[in-house]
Amino acid sequence: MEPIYSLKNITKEFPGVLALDDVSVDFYPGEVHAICGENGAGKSTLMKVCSGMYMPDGGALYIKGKKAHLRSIADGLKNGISMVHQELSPVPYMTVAENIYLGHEPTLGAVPIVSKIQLIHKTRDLFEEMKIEGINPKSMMYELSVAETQLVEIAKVMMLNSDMVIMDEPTSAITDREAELLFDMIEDLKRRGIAIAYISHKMDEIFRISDKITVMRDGKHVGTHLAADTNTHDVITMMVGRELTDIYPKLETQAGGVAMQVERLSKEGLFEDITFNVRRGEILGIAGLMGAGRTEVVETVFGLRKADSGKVVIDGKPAVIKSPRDAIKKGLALVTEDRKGTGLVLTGSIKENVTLAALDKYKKFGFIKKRSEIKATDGQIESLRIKTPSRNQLVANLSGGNQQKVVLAKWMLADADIIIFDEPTRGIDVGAKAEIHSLMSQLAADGKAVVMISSEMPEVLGMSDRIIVLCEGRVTGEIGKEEFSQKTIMEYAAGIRTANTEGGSIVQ
Amino acid sequence: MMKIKPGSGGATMGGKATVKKIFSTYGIIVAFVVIVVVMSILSKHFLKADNLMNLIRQVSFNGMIAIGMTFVIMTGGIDLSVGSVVALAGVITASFQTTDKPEQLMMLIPAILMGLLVSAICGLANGMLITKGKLAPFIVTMGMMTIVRGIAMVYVNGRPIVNFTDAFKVVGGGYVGPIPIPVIIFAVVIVISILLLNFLTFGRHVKSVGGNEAAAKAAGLNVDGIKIKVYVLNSVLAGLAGIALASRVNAAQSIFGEGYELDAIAAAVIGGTSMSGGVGTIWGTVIGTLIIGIISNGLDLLNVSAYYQMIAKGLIILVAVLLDRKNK
Amino acid sequence: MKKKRVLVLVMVVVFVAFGLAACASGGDAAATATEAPAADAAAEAPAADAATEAPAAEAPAADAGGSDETIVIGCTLQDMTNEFMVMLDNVMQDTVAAEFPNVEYTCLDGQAQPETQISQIEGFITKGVDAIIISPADANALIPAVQQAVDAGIPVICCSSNIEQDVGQVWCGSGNENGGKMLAEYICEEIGGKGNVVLFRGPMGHFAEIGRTTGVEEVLANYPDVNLIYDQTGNWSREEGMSLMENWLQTGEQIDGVMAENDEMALGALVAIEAAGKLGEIKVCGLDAIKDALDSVKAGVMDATVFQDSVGQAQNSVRLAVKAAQGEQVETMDIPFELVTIENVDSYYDRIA
Repeated sequence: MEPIYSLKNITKEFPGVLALDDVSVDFYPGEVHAICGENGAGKSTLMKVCSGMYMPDGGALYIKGKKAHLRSIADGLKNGISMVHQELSPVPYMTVAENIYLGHEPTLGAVPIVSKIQLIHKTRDLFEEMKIEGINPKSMMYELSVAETQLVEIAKVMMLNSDMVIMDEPTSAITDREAELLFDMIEDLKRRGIAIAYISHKMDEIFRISDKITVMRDGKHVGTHLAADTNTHDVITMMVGRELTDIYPKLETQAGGVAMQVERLSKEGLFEDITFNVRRGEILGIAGLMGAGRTEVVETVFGLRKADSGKVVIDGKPAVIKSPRDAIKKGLALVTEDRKGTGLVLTGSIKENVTLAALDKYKKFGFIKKRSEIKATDGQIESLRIKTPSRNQLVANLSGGNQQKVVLAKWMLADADIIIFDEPTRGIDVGAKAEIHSLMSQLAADGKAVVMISSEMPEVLGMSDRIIVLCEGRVTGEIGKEEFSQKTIMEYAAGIRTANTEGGSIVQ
Repeated sequence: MMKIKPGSGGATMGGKATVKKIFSTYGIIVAFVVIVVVMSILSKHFLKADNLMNLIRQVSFNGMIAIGMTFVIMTGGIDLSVGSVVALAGVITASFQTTDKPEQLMMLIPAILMGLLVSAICGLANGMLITKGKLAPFIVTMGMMTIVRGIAMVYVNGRPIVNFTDAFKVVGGGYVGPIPIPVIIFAVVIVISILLLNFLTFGRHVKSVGGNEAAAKAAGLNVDGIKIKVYVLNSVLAGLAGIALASRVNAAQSIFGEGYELDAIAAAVIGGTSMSGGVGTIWGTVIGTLIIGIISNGLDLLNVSAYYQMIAKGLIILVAVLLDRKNK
Repeated sequence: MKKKRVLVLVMVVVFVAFGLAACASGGDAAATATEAPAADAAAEAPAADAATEAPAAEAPAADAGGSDETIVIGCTLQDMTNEFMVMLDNVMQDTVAAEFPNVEYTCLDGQAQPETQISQIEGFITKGVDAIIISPADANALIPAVQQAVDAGIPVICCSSNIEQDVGQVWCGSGNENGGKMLAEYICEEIGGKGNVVLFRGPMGHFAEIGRTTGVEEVLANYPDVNLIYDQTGNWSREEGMSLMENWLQTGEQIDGVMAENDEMALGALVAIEAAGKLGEIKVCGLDAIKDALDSVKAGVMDATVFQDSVGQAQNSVRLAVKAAQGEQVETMDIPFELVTIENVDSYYDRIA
């Protein structure tokens, strides 16, 4: 069979980094081809070259056997190549239907007037075909949740009837149920003879849907195998280039005294009556479904939001926290969920980001003590193994995993006693994941109190000493290590089961 | 220079790469050098020491404002009120330094401090309205632009203040050795600003707030406080420029400084300051100021007709910025 | 949220208070100069009322004197926040009060909007005034309205500035061309009809810049030995005048005379000339005769400026309007510019606004 799309000896370079080094891949019709690799391995760059977003510096693209020069995404679309991007780019003040048909609006015959009725009808039909429920085509884009936005982005690509669809982490922001929908759609595309390139960090997903797996490392093509001929362990080994022993390296620790007690914290419309505590030396996992209010709770504790009622007690003393500044003074740190939104100053260098929260430690009469700042930064780069040519590299030029490490480094320097991680490993690769887990484990072993929000079940189960579960803004259960099981968590998270709690007091 | 093949660079690739790196980091310097070379070929007067000193004195007023503006733009803001602050500070200080009003003569320094204090209050008002009032900087400072101009007009009833004391005349018109005093003031402002931006935590905070306000807040920075300080700093620098300018032209007028905000913004942007915040340098802004100054000075020397001057100025500015961005 | 609103409000109040305080602190002393004219203006308001009412009160007296019935003059001026326009109005009121007891004079504020002036003229036509005086806010936009009034048989006097087209109105003002001519003539004569001169223009395309430049060019054509070596706009501004002159002096070319289309630019050029130690070597003439310029001429720094007789413009506008209303044929009147030099400068202090 003839490949739909061939990449031959592709090379792409960014200042200081060779992102793709002589990479060749073929995509065949009716085949799901997974691209695996750690963050920074060059997967996303490869897909951007595929879609026409980037022009390669060397090598050639062949579409249906003919040499193609793609200069833009529009060129790619013309040649039947479309892409679901990892970063969502909706137009917030337009309706769902208008977003989906942006640039392809149905018109009143030859008259260039957009037919609103047709727009809505076509969108309804499309949603029906894709089995998407619960999204109103007339809703404004900004009213949608992240998961719904992701579905709309997928619908947008489905509408195009391309020969090849590229999906860059399409499930990173959607729930399992919606992921199932997506897999059904992918099956359907396969049957229609469409080629699919699929990027994901989730191994189970990859093995479930893909026919072929290509592994990349450091911009190079490591190997391509039929999914049936390989397994998770081998793929991970190829990705990291070494045997990976344990991605949940949780050390046994002895929990100490209560470091922070959150009492009956409420915020109308977001969460109610939240009570929990965290002890020194333990990792408290917070589980729950998307929209359960987990992020909102920790943001409130950290002073990013204002509570309606309730209090936070730190080391036995009530703490008044009105801003992150207050929180940091009380020994709190929050590694936020949204790396680019609230974690990093993308225009700044690694050094500038790493010392941001602790800059007061490196100053004298308002002057920055450059030498000690550099020393502290280099220390973090080394201990967290941040891959970078220089401490002055802009964080915008780092891969996702390394960016996340920079955020962690920032909070490590802040010397916090209570560290809250909100989805610390979302969208990053296995190698970096293991490193971050071992860091968390080490923090707990050093006697710090660690709180971790995670939507990944194995992570919650693998890393926590104790788990609380939230459902629709309430604590529905607390689970001790002996009771850990995916089923228990899911039951609490779905609200099917509620712990025997009264007035928010938790059985300890 | 735009013909360098994309992708031939990269730190690992040797000689060619170094050339490209220089271009990408210092594109604006290249533009600056090109403009200087062209001007000195076209006019034999351009490179004369006299003219250069004259040129630097002319740009020092806009330069001070542009440096303040750089801080503001780096926080992701904008300040349109600086031109009016130039006028207000000028007339306030001048009103205490004119022999027409012997009854309210002051010592020079207190008179200057009065002007700067009033400027600082304007900046404080800008900062408070933007942070505590949660209004867009564009709107706030546009309103302030009119209000402050109005106050300046009311203060002098639309008439110029003239007949300055000898002490005050020196501020803008005097020399230390061969160097005009405004140039010295400008140099001091540059040095202090470089310290502020690159060596003090203040500068780091400014960069972070502009780069990502939410992240700066989450890292425990006092975002509102930083912004207020920046607007005050900017207004004080504009005030300083206004005082020096009034002294320089031997008159303080409520109409001074109209349109200065645009020159200041242009200088900052030419110098590589990002309008979306987080990125900018003092030396870049100084170069930007010089480029704008050189264009005016050079075109005057060449006696280019006024109509063509406008076109030439616009074109040169656009080309300079293009040259810079192309190489990034 | 509410707290913040209050805070903002407090901020605004504080700022306004500061503004007032600034006036006050410039206060006692500065205000002697600052507030005095303001007080004048305030006093003028009731005076204006009194003026409009005056004819009514004096009507019987006028009748007794045997003169004609009341003549109504409607006047609309560009913009009453402009000091120059206020001055025109004051002079017109004074002229009416002093010379024409039987005239009822009404003056409206055009608010710098041509459309406001158009509707004001339409109002005058409906009311059936006997004559209209206008200082047009736009030289083109008001042509149709003036045409309409003329067609309705109402004489229209354009005071100070004119409209672009002759539709039967009568103009009473001083042509910018003549100002430019006087300026250029003076400099060319002073340098002995020979040498290098420079010209500072107003903002390019401004009607006064166009008129004054035309006048300058006409004169220069008569002096073949005078070379116009630099010719730029200084945008009416003192700072720009200064830096332009600095730059020109840098070239080392001999400059004998400076022609500036307004006094501000001339004063700026003088700062640069003084710094270059060339005061006295270069003849400088401005235009407008503002107070600063008179001071400079009196001190022997600036050589001359050109005076525009706005008082004469206003007085004669009223006189023309009355004549026309009485059915007399009137013609466009050019109020001549006057050259101000150190010999006659003292007499001009009283004549400027």
